[in-house]
Amino acid sequence: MKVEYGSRVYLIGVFSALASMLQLLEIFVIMPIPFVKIGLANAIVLFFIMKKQYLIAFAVNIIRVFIGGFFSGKLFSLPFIFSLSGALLSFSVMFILFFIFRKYISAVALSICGAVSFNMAQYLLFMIFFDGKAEYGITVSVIAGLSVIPGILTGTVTEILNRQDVELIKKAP
Amino acid sequence: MFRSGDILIYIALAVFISIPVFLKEPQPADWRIRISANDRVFYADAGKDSVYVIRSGNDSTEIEVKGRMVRISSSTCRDKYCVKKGWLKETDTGDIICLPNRVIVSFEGVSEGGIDAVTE
Repeated sequence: MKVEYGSRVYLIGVFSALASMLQLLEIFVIMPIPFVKIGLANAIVLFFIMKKQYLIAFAVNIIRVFIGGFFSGKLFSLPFIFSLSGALLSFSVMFILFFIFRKYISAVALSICGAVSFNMAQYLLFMIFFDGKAEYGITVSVIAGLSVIPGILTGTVTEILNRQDVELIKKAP
Repeated sequence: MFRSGDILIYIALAVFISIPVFLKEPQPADWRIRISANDRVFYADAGKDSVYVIRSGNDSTEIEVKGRMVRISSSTCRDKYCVKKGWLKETDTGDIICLPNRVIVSFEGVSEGGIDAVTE
C-alpha cells in the first residue's frame, strides 16, 4: 500500500487522532492484571520510528499524550506529567536503540524497552514526588516485569503493521 | 520476528529485573530506647530485659525494658501519670514523660528510614 502525503502535518494529524482514540478506547479494555494497559498508541509511534519518520513519531507521541490527557480530564495534572515524561523517555529509548541497532533489533524488543522505560519514568517521578527518593528495589522489578507483557503485545501489533508493506511517499510539491 | 540483537536486549532486561530480587533485603530498622533525664540523654538496647533507675536528689524513676517494650514501673512523682501510661511499644508513636522528675522515654530508629518524620 502506498500512502502519499503532501506535508508531514497531514500524517501527524491523522495518526495523532488514531493514537489518541486507541489510548482512550483502552480504558474499556479490562486487563487481568491491575495497572497494566496495552498501550496500543505506542504501536503507531514505533511504526513511524521503524519507518525512519522520527519527527512524525515524536509529534504523534507528544500530541496523543496531550489529547489523551484532555479527554480524560487530566490535562496538566500530576498523572499527565507522569504520562508525558514516560512518553518522552520511552520515545528517546526506542529512538536511540533503533538508531544504533537498526538492523539487529526487532519491533518486539524495541516495544518492550519502550514499555519498561515508560513505566520506569513514571515510577521514578512518582517516588520522587511523594517519597523524595527512589530506590532500586523489588518494586522496580515488579513494574519492569509487568510492563514486558504489554510490550510484547504492542510489539506484535507493530510487527503486523510493518508486514503490511505500507510505503510512505512524499508527494512532489 | 526475531533478530540477533534482541538477545542482548533481553539479557539486559532480565539482569535489570532480577538484580533487586537477588539483592539482600534491607535489615529491619533497629530500635533503641532513648532516655532523657534532666536534659542528659542515655540510650538503652531494646530487646534486652533490664531495669534502669534514674536518681536525682530524692526523686527516683525506675524504667523497665522487657522484650521490645518499655515502661516506667515506678516513680516518686505525685500523680504517677508516667506509670499509668503503661507499656510503650516500638511501633507506638509518642513518649512516656514524667514531668516532675524530668524523664522522657522514647524509641528511636537507629537505621535511616526507621521513622517517616519527626515533628518537634
